[in-house]
Amino acid sequence: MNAESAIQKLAIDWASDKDVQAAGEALIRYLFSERSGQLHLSFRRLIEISNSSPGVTFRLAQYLTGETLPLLKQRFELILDDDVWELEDNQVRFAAVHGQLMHPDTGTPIPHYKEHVFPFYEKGDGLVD
Amino acid sequence: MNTIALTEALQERGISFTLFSYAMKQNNLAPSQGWDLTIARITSELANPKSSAAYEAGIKRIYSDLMYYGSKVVRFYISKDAAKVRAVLDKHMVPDTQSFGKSFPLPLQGPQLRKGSVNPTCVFTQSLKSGSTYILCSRQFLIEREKLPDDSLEPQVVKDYGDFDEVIGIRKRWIQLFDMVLVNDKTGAVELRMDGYGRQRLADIEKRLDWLVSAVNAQLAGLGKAYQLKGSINFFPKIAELYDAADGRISELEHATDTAGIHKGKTRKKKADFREDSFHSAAASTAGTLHAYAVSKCWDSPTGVGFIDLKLPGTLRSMATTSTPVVDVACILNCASETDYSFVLSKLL
Repeated sequence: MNAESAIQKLAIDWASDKDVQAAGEALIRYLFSERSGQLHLSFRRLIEISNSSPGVTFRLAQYLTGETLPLLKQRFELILDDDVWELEDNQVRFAAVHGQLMHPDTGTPIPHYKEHVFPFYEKGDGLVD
Repeated sequence: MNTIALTEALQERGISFTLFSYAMKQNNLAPSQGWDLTIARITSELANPKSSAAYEAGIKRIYSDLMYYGSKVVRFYISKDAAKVRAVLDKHMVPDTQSFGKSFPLPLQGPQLRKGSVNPTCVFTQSLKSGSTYILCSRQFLIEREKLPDDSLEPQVVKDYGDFDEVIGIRKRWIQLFDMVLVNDKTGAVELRMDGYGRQRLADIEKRLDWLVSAVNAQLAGLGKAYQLKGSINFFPKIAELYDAADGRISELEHATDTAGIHKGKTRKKKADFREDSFHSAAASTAGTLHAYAVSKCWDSPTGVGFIDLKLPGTLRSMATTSTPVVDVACILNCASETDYSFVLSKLL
């Protein structure tokens, strides 16, 4: 897949929403220009790159992390002071179900863990060669 | 030995839970989320006749592996005659049976620990055809800081001292560390493998390491000066080698430039390679020599479970000297098994 075919697909799927189309075109061009490197983008960066509102970016991110055009993969990271841990899917699932996230080193619950967990986006299968 | 006591001792020793869960997976055991749920899971598996033997043997093996490997600070000397060194150490390193030796391999607790020596004391020796291992325990002081919940102060304290943005608790306590001296007849290497990484400052670990070198040298004094541990392996040249070698991933780098710059960079996740960071790679491709003085490199475990790290903790000061820069310790981190540790050693030596 290349940028042009991805943009065409987006235009068909979002024909009724010009805002998502415009934001998506900008983001897709950026993603393909950076596809050879490793990507780690915050939601804030998606807003900046797509030059759109948080609402439009949210719809776009949901679409690009789905199965139709999987250019992004959403992950979560835990940030405590200067330490960062990428969370595994099973840790995120456990936190969502049980309301507890265990510290990767101490293995004990992190108080107010939601204040320290942030989403980020990396390359999805559609960007991997 | 009680399987749950071994597991709780690993938690007490501050072993990273992530490392423990890697060790469990490498031994085909199933960890849960966090220590409490994992201990509950192990308890349940021990009660099951179908799984109890596997869990009992597996946890025993993991306890031993995380004592021998885990996360260690190491220094290597090459001896003139390792067999002679070993013969002397075998004579002098007599395992203690009164203090740390009473509970070994478990650490001492509470009042008993407070009576233990602060200097490394031999508690166990193992002599094989290829070499000997001496395990030395000591009691070390630890200061831990922990952020407390905002509502943890009594109203009277707030009334007297006003509101605080953060409340930090300080815990001072003693812990037991397990250091090792390993003598290898075949290679002539004498390895000092220090415990406590991540709990103590590196400078404090190095102080204990220097004390241990002096203690070993005092025991070797009778063999003459040529047998003293001196001139350890210098890992400084390895820093550039590790950076240049395509395998693994650079996770941290500290380097200086000819134009008065000091740069420190790291990746935010173990799967990323700092060499591929767009800012770093663009600068590195035009700036010429890096003059790196500290590096951390990470690899996937050869077992297929977990990540292992090698850190060469040089300092800017080492670059400023007129003589050859020296980095005489390496940090071998997150090794869940001998396979992991041997893999990192193959990259270091």
